[in-house]
This record gives sequence, C-alpha cells and structure tokens, in this order.
Amino acid sequence: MISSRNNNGRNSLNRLYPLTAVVGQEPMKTALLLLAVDPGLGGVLLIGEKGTAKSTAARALAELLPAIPVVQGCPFHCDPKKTKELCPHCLELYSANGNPPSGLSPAPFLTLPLGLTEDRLMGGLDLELAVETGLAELQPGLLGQANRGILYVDEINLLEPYLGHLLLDAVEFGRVLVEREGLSVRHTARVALIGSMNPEEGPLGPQLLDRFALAVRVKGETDPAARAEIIRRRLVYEADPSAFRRSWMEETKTWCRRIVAARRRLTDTILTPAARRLLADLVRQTGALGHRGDLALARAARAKAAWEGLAEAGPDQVAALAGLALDFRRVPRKNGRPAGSPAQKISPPAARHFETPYITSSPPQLFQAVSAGDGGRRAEVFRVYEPNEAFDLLTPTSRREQGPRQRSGRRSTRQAQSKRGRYFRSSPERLGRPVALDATLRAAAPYQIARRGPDSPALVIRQPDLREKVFRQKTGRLILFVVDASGSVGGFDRMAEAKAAALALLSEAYQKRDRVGLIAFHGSGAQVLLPPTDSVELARGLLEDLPTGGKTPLAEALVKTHQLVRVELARDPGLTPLIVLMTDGRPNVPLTPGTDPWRETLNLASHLRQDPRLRFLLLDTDSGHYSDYTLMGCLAERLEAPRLTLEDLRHGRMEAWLERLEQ
Amino acid sequence: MANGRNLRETYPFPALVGQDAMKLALILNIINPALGGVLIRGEKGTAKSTAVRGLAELLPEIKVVKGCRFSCDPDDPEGWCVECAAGANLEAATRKVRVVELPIGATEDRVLGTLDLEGALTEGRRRFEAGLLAAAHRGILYVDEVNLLDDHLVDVLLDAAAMGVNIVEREGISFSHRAKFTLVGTMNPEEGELRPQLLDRFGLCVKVEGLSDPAARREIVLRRMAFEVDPEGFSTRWRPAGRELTDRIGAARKALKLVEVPEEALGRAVDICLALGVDGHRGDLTVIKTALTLAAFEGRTGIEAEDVDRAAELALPHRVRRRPFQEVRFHVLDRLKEERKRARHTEP
Repeated sequence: MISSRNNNGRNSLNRLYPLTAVVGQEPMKTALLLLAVDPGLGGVLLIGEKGTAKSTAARALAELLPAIPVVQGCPFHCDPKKTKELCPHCLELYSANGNPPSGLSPAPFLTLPLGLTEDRLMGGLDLELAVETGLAELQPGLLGQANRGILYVDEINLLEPYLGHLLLDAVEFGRVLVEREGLSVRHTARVALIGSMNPEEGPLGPQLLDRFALAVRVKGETDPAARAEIIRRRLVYEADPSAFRRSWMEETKTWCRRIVAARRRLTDTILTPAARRLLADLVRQTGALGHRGDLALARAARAKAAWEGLAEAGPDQVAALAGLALDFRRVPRKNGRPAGSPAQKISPPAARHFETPYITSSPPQLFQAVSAGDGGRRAEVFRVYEPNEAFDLLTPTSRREQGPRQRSGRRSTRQAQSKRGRYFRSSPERLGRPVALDATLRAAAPYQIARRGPDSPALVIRQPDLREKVFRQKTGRLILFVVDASGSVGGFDRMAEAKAAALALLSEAYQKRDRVGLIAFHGSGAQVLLPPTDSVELARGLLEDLPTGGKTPLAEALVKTHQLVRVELARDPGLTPLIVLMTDGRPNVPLTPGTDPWRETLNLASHLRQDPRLRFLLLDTDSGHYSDYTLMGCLAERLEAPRLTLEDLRHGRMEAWLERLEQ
Repeated sequence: MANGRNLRETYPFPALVGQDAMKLALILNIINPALGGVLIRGEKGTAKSTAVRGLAELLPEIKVVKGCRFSCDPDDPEGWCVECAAGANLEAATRKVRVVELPIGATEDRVLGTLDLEGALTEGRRRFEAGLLAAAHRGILYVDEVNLLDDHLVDVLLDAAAMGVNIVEREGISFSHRAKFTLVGTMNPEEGELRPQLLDRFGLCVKVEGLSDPAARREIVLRRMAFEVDPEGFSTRWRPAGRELTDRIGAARKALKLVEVPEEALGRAVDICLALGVDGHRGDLTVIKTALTLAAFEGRTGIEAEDVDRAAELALPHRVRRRPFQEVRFHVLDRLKEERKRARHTEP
C-alpha cells in the first residue's frame, strides 16, 4: 500500500541525466561517488551558483546506489542481518520464526521537498488502519523510508529551520523517535544526506553545515570546449532522454560495479600511518572545531582508496580530499574569538571559500568623490562603490536559521499567531488558526470504532480532536535608514564611510530579504526617499547619489520616521522595524521656530520609544571627540539604542550589536 | 472594463502594438516549451498581462489521457502518473494548452495540492487533491507580479520547476506527479527584485516600455477604444491574423526538430556567455535553444550568427553577473562590446 502511494518522484527515475555524462565537475562527482561507496560518511553538500548541474548530479546518484538486502515488504528496509536494528514489525517476525523472508531491494533515494510538513518527515499515524481497526501504527515518514539510503534536499538553506533541526537530530543519531498522536515508536534511520544550495539565497545554519562530511564548491566550467560539450550533450538528452541514457548505460553499469566492489573492499581498507600524520597536520592548520573534520576526512580517504581499488588509504587520498572535508569548517581568523565560544553561533565557520559572492567577489574599491552642481549651490555627491572588506563580518546567523531552542520572545509569538506563510506542523493548542485536517483526522482515527453508531458518518470528529496549522512566515524585517546628509556630516570621508556602513547593512538586508526604506534629511527638511521596498537596488542607488550639505533638521526626520513606521505597523502589527539613525547629532533646525532643537529631538525620541516593537541603532558619524557629551549620548539613552561609531563598525563590533538585537 | 460583457473577451494578441521583444519571447516559448518561460519586466500599463492572457488563443493542442487530473501524455507511458499507470483502457483526447494563473496570494496547499477533504471525511481515506502545479503541467504557469510572490511560494515553485516534478510530502499525503510548465511572470522592477534562483528559472527576459512614438501611441488608444466599444467585433476582425500566427507557430513546432546547430553557433554562444560572466550553464543552453527556435519560427533549417546574437539579447539580460544591487541590464550585446573593448585595453 505504501509503495503504491508513495512514489516521491520516482516515476521520473527513468529520465535521470546520467552522472557519467556530466562534463567536468570532478570534485562534485568524487564527493557523490564516495557517499555511494560509504553512506556512513553522513552527507555531502553541494554549494554553487545556479545552473551548475548540482541537482542533476545529486539526483543521478540514485541509479548508482547498489541494491541492499532487506526484510521483504518492510517499509523501513530493515537489514535482515542486523537483528538489533530491526523495526518493531520485523522484530516480531524475527522472534516468531527466526529469519524473516529477505530479498534485494534498490536502496532508497528520496527527495525532501521544501513544502514538507513535520508528519511526513517523522512519520505519523496510519490513518486508514486506525479508522478500520482502531490500531495505532506508524506510517513511516521520509526519514523512515530513507533508512539505509539517501535523502536529497535541494535548496537546503531554505528548509524550514524547525524541520531542519528534526532532520539533523535524526541523521545524527541514526534513529527516529515518534511521540505523537498516541504513537510511541523508535526506529532506526541510517540516512545519508545530500544537500544543494545556492549561497546567493542566504547561508546555511552552522549546525546543519557542520553535519556534512564533505562540501563541494561547484563552479561553472570556464573552458569553452567543455562548455560547448555540455550544451551538445544536453541537447541530445532533451531530444530523447531514453536514447541518451542508453548510450551512457555501459559506463553507468561500470560505475555501479565499481561501487559494489569498493563497498566490499571498504571494511578492510586502512589508513596508513603517513596518511594519519598528514591528516593531523591538515586539521591543525585548519583550526576546525570538534572532530567532525578529522573523522570525515579519514572516512572519505578510505572510501576513495576503496573506489580506486587500493587496499590502504595513503597521504595522496588524504591530500586530495582535504579541501572538500576541511575548507568549510575553517574558523574565520579575523574574528579573533576563542574557538568554541558562543560566538561560533554568530559567525558560521565560513571559509573564504564559502562567503557569498555578493560581498567578496568584487575587489574592494576606494571611495571616490564626485562633485555635482546642485542648482547653483554646490552640493557634494559622494559615490561609494562597494562596501569595504572590513564590513563583511556582517553575516551573523540568519534570523530564520535558528533552531527551535533559540527561538525567543517576539519571534515565536509571531509564529504562533500567524495565519499566513508555510504550514509545517500542527498543534493541539487552540488559537483560532486554520484547522489542520490531516492532523485532526489522525487524532480522531483511533476512536472511530468506539464512536461509530449505526447512522454515523465514516468519521466522527469531536472537539478535542481538532488540530490547528502552525505557520511560519518568512518575511524579513523592515529596516529603515534615517540618514543625516547635512553639511556638518559632510566631512568628506565621514560621509563616504557612513554610506559604506549603510551599504553593508543593505547587503545583509538583501540576503535576508528584509525590506528597506530610506529617509534622508538635510537643508530645510526630511524626505522619504524610498518607501519600504524589497528593491534594495533602489536604496543603493539613492544612497550613492545622496547629496550632502545644509542644516540638520533632525526633529523633522524623526517625525517622518514616526509617520512611516505607523503606516507599516498598521499593515503588519507583527513587524519589529529596525530604525538605523545615522547622524552626528547636531540638530539646528527646530520643528517649531524658536524652540530648542535639542530638547525637541529628545522629546520626539522618547515618544518613539513608547512603541515596544521599534528597535533603534544609532550610528554616530561624528569622529568621536565629543563622546558622551553630545546629543548622541542622550539620544541613545532615550531610544535605548546601541550607539556605534564608524570605527566600531570597522572593528567588527557590529556583531555584538546584532547579537543583542536578536534577544 | 467593468462592463460585464467584455470580461470574457480577451484582447487579441496580434492586435498589440509594438513590444516586439515581448511578443517574440512569448511566441518562441509556445513553439519550444523547453525554453523555460519568460520574465516580462516593465512599468504598469504596458500591456504585459494583456499579452499573456491573449496568448491563450494562440496555443496549440496537445494529446492527453482522457480524464487524467495530471494531463498525462498518452504517448509517454514512462511519465504517467500513478493513476494512469494503474488504469486500464485509457483513452486519448486533445485539448488546448492551458494558461494557469498563480495568484500571488495563493496558499501553499492550493499550489502543491492537498488532502482531499471529502474523501477523508466520508470514507476516512486519504486522497490527493491536485493543485495548480498539476493543472499547469504541459502548459503555462502565469504569475502576475511574480516579484510580490510570497517567499514560501517561491521556494516550492523553485522545487517543482527544478525537476519538473511536484513532490508532495505534507498533511499526511505522500504523492508526486509530473509538473513541467512554462513559467511566465510579469513584474514591475520598481516594486522589488526577484530572488536570484527564481530569476534564473526564467528562460528569457524582456523589458517592456511605454512607446514613445506618437503614431504608435495613437494606434494603441484607437485599438483599445475599438475593443472596449465592441469586444466581439474587434476580436472577429483580428481572428484571421491570429489564425495566421497560430499556423506559423504550428509549422515552427514541427520544423524545430530539423534545425541544426553548427559548431560555430555553439562556440559563439559560449564565447558570449563567458565574456559576460554568466553564472552556470543554463545561459549557454538557453541561448542555443532560443536561436534554434528563432530559426524554426523564421522557416530556416540552420542557425546563423545573428540568431545567436538575437537569442543572447533575450536569454541573458537577467543572467549577466551584476554587482550587488545593480539593476538588470538589457542590450546585452552592447555590454558585450564594452567588455571586449576593455579586455583589449587591458591586454598588453
């Protein structure tokens, strides 16, 4: 029954583009093949730009996996030889009449879609069986079904964090615990993971990242001949997939046989002492945390030796795989924090190798000043090309990447109340959210026999059965830049520096898909240059060309901020806007003529502070001589906002601030 | 427009004035669904949606298994859904290729499919109720204002588009079916940009602008007024033009298999992509496929250099590597000339 219902995309197996026909991409192919040789490696992550055959290759591995001996008909693919790991059913069979009937079965290769819900990952009550017989039995989820096989997650960095955490936990311990819907089941789930991701869509949480044994940075081919060959093969494939697959069948079969042979050899393959020494050296150089790197590298080297038909893994194998096993675990040195500190949560172990191309691929450029005429009076326009390198520490744990343990305060409330977004699990808590039909049915199913009367419908559902959908909405936050463009800030490099800081924040906002707005003030007024939008490009353009000069109408800027934020909060009351106020704190244009601009500003600040949803950050663009005696000190106090100087930013103190903000 | 009578009548595609790039891109996608769709970028009121809706008239017919919810192809048993695979005495039927609209406020279960409520309540059985992705299989999935699509919908859309299969593992349901569709999206870039991964899923990308030629503008107004006064009469008058185009598309579909790709064309496509720093290989491939389709549309059996250049203008604007926050740039070949000039200067 299960097999007929669940095909998980397997009806497209006969269309796979053969891995043998993938041009180039040797590291990727190696990593995947090693996982086929030794699924115990745990996982392979493919990181790369779009359109580089990542998912084609990952999926192609399905047809290279050797068949496995299984207990016949067992949905968990129990291994008849490993009696300790049998599922409850097979265990029953085993204790009744010794060896259960066994046979060969293709190794499972399942795709984990992003629209997944918890019950399908972990398993849930077998509804039909429960309705008919009143028995509560587990229908395995993807983790159970993928036992002794591979789970593939495309765009793994976009996986709902809660599900990612469950996945991780199960893969780490090789078992699944289901305690829900009257079920209490524990079963083995030895699952190898393949993940693929495009780093432009945001980073992968460090806990998930660390789980992978090997990570491959996949790049497009740059050799014109290879590129042409890719097109040629692809055109032939698309014209007639079956014929194309047939023409590669021989090669594919050869690889299959090699994998089977390598698996057999693997148990006896040892790591030579020289290889061990090299491994230790390499790991020390990397400064990676924990022992995952060593273990992964050692295991992968053995698998490689087995694949190459060698009896032992030497320094060659270790050296060849060091990049794949260690590079992504490299601790960023510029961070300067002791290894293992909580700071690790903030900066993922991103080697240079893995930083997002948006920030590092462009060479740092110096600020360039351009003057432009502005209706007779000259206003200086500073062009800022790229955020300078020092700012690329701005990659804290993504707000959406945190596991359930780290969810705190506001964020979880937002999740609990939300009625839109992704439905990923159900809850018996009644908060007026839409009913989760599947979970409700499962809750009601075991009682059907008892509730069934002569005239009752097929299913009798009672109040306590009701389950609600829990949604998570992936909206980013709103970041509002309120930028002082007055003459006093206009000290040439101060403004350029301030813009660089703002651009770095924008870069971050882009990845997190935050929305940004821009208010600038100078001369006689404040202006909403950009109403909140997720078109960060626009914000960048405007910031670049922002003219400076004139007086400092700070009070008016705060009024404009308030107006704008009020509208946004009315639209989405769950929003927690972040207001980044960049100024040197020298207001000289009062709202009401004759009043003191300082006092006016502070009063407005207190007023703004009254809304607990608002968060502030002060970027002091002053050079810092006046320290706490300036208005900025008082303003920071009133707004309960961290106050950072541009120098702080340059020294990476932004992290500390982001950390605080998350609490 | 509020007039109930012309709600049903769509503005005929051939009656659109100007916007040749957009029209061409749409037509090429009908001829060759493997191109991967079009992203139409432009301001409001530039006939983006009108063009897509008008497209429905031009679409060819396809063979489907009669009564199949997943529009299985009777000639392709390997790709059949579980229901067709299990069924006996399947009958074939023909119907027009569909345009399925994905509203930006759609729920995830509506898009992916969900648990069939009735079956569950009356029989206590779980059945899969097909969603929009199933309806769009072998057709066109149209997303107006695609840049405003909720993030989680983008995610699931990417998932399905990546392999042409919709895998559903949710709400107690475990089901999968083919979902190969041509993705057509319209957007106003002022309202926000698309995520890189989704951007790459669109085969072609065109920009529409308000026309600046006064005569053309007058013509737009005249035709629009004529349409609103008498939509049926207007459509009748344009029917022959529509039929002619449909025939041409049909001929091109047949001719597509005959077009050959010479080595020079391959080389040229690769050169262009390398020079422009196009990520990945989808760009190269799309340029070649677009060039092929262009040649077929114009009744030629070989690709010429010019086809590759024209194809590059359609297939690369959104793939050319941009600096952070830089806007999508059109006129790809101008950009190419700049790059080459610079390369010559830097070489000693």
